[in-house]
Amino acid sequence: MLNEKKLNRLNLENFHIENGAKLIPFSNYNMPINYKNGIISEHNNTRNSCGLFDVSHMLQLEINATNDNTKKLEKIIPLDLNNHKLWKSSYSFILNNEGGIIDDLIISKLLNNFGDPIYYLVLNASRRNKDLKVISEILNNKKEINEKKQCNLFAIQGPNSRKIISKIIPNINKLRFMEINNFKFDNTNILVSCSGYTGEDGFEISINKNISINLIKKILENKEVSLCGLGCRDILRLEAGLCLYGNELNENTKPNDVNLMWAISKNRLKNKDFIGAKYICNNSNNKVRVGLISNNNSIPRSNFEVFDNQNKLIGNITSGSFSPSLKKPIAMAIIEKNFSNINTEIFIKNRGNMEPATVSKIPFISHKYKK
Amino acid sequence: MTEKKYTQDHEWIEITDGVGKVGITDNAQEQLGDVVFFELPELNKSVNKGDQVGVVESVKAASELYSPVSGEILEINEELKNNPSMVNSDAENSAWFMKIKITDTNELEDLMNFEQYKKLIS
Repeated sequence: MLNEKKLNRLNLENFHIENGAKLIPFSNYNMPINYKNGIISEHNNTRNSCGLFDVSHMLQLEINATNDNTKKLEKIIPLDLNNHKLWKSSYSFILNNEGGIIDDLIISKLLNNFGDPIYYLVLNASRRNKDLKVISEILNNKKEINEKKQCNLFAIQGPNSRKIISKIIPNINKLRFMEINNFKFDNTNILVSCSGYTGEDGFEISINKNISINLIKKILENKEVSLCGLGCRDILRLEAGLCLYGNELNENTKPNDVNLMWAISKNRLKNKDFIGAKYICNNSNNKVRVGLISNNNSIPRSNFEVFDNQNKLIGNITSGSFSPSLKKPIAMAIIEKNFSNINTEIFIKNRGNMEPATVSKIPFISHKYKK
Repeated sequence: MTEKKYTQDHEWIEITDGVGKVGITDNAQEQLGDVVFFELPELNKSVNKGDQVGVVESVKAASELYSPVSGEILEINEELKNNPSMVNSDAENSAWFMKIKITDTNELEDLMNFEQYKKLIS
């Protein structure tokens, strides 16, 4: 409570409160964790219909896609940015010298209003200061970074999101998974990508704060849409087998520890020409990220220890929750490779008890992306 | 004659003829959010005031259940095992988690009445 004054506030905070949001401090922001109907109801509505999330706490950056900036960014982001297609988005990360993950991100290449190519990055609020420091250091010029402080970011997710948003934003239906483009709302440019972090079809909308309430109200005219908080977002991303910074990812974790090698471009992997590459490409690691389904009703939480049937410690839980889709507790864990086969029986230490769980495929719920 | 008291751990106890019916408060369930699991107390066990007797878990967090008084656990609410979410709709009535035979009624004097509890959570 003492820190409440220092917390950043969403510009729509009052709107969220009026709509029954319960706010908690998250990454220095006062964020809705859930609304009146609760996390499970919001989760189910997103999986079955449509959920709307205010994720304006996330860091949105624009960087001119000059040759010089591209070369510099490629040192810390292991993507082929030079050959990255326009109007496409990619998932990747910022790496440190040891190949550890400073942050994970979505980076897109697009043309700005003047027709110049730019990169648009969406990064975690919790990593804001570190990200800005690392990026401005590598670019050696703070002026090359434009923080989109004037814009909110909303995610609309779920099987009905395409139908609903198509009624409000013309031409949006053509957008496929990990594509991005400029659209118009209220005669103003908005940036929309076909992405999200729930495993559902959906969109992320970057829109000027001056008109964002109009868009939200327009979307909520559709009664099947529910406002959703971070609580349900966390469960949706866990069911979708997606990593969360601070849980699965940190500066001591390398992409090869968490099965994220697919987020490194093939030619970058071959050329090993980004920082930390030698630690990532040597294949010596013995760890792997797995899904777990508990055979008990208690919920595995972050940092709980994982054991084999000989009582040997083999890893730790990184995320855990109750899955409303599977109606069982689920988790992700980083464990020794030897135990990572599907259906391997392991044990989770929960309040002193050894509780049986089974290694499961991730995602727990198949992705519904429109490709 | 029935009396209802509240604890610092956000539990209520309703005392009738030396037996206490115990549950978590409406405020507690609201703070926890969607409850998905109860680890219920052990039947017939003798416990001391303040002992941990079980766990309630919501999607957000796990929270310990304590005994507000010393005594013997006479009954547990099996319905909570199959339907833990009933605590979200009826925390201070049907969603009690145990009944306990109170050994020392003097312990009740340390607990809060409704007005005092309301003050605590406001």
